[in-house]
Amino acid sequence: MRHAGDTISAYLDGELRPEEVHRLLEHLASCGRCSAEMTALQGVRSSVRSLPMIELPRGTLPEAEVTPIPLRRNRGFIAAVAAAVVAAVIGIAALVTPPPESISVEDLNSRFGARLSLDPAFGPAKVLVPETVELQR
Amino acid sequence: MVEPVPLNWEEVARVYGRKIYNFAYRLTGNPADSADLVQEVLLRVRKGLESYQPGSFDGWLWRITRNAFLDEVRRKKRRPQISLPDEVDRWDIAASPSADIEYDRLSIGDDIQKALLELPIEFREAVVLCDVVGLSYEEIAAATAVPIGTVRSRIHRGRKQLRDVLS
Amino acid sequence: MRRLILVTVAVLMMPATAMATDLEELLAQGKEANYSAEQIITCSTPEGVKDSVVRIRQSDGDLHAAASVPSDLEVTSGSGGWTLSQAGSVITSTSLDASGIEAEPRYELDEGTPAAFLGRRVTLYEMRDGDLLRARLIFDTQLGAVMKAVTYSADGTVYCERRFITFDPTPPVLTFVRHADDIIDEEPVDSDLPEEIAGFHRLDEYAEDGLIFAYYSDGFFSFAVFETDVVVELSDAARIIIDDDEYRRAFDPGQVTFVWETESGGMALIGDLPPDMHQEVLAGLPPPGRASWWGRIWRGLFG
Repeated sequence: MRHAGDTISAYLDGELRPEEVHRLLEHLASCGRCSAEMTALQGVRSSVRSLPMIELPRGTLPEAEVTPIPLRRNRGFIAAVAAAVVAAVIGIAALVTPPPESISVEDLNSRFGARLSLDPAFGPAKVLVPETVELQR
Repeated sequence: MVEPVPLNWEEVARVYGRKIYNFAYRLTGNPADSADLVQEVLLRVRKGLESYQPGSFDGWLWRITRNAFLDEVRRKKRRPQISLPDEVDRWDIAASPSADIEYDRLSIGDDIQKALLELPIEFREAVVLCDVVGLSYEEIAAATAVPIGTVRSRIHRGRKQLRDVLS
Repeated sequence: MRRLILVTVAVLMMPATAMATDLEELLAQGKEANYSAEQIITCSTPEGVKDSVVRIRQSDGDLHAAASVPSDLEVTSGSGGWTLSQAGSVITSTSLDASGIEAEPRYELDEGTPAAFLGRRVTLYEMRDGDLLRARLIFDTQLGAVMKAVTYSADGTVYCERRFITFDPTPPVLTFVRHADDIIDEEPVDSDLPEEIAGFHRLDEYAEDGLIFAYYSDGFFSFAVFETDVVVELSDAARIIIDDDEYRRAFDPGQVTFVWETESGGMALIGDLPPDMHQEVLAGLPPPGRASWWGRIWRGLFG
């Protein structure tokens, strides 16, 4: 007898089509094992869903650090200070470096190899050690 | 159909920051890393808002969140943390009584949090995206770039494992 | 309130058929394998046979490979890092991130045949693109490592064979190698590199000073396309004409490199795709010598 499997979870999450719901409920009517699993997983799901939503710790959002300035102050100065605080916290710094004079195929291969190491197929089927290397750098 | 897109990152931060934090916290159990993730995601969203093509903002944001999370995991894997003698351990800051963290609320659900941390990461992520963040299977599939069938299977197996651990 | 999701494509809801094996899951398992091995790579290329013996050690997702000749050349890779060193000193190193987008599956495995190889229990799979056999893969049943991989050209001839000739499942202790400090981030690039070429999908794009590159995969084979503002040096490269365009091409065991110039700079392609795919892939990329709008993009990005 084929059991309900992951249609139980899909049902609990409201992800089944009506005809699939019908089929599942018919199966549960005569399958004690799946009924027990449904009950158990319903409890697990509720428990996880009842986990409290934790508030962001103070300081996560930099703007929370900027205290309200009384209206008397110069608005331009305030905007600059706020922006500086935000930028300092986030650490945005644009460094412009001049383009390199030349690119060697070894450097290109290095980039391909680095990305290859993140490929799902990475392993013996994709390993490569270059045979020749440009020694003049 | 074009949905309204938040116009600036302050709005994104307010609306989504808490969800991103809880996503990371339930996945890692680490408050400091979770706060870092929120900042990293908001930074990437801010950078990407200009070139964002209207589609599914939620999907776009959760993909960014997940990628930022994975990047951080990979970074930690590549470069083991070297503590210098005078470098303050961020855990100390997070654990100190003066830190503004809701300890009372954190103690609730400790069993479940510990159980979650025992799940393999794929299952844990699927369960967290479904039951903590509240995404649909289709949204989880889009965020994690796997078929919906895989999402369903991972959620189911994750819950079964939780049941085993908690009993 | 959870809304019901209407699945518009029924095939997405169905798990893989009982008769097929999930290629990606098998490959992912292999990433976790820990072992030492010697591998021989033999490829039949248009420029003759290319072969080499490589000493491989894999542990915790990192892979160290050393050439037998010259024996002091070593590659260390894993988790987005790649470093080539000779006699202990670094020649080149890269660190980068990926978006995690996965290629749309092009290949299917059969249900697998149990076998033995190098004294290990293994499973032999045939990897097909429709009816076309593209690879035979032998996976170690216990560890998931790819013990042997034979890839085929479209006409049925063998392109490359990689197989372990020795295998030691003892987890090796790998010395930690630190990759390049600067991590190249994946980001959308306004370039003229297409999203799809000849069945390969562009998964990531990267932009640096003077260089743009994109990574393509079809679920098994993959390649990177580079666009630079200078000429790429490729030694020992044969000049080859493809569709009336001239490229320089070099084969390493298991990998091909193409280099050519457009009016705005140099381009290169590096990948492990079989030779019968080369023409169609190159046809999808900016051709040599003709004006490309790459120059405009380049100036827009870097001033």
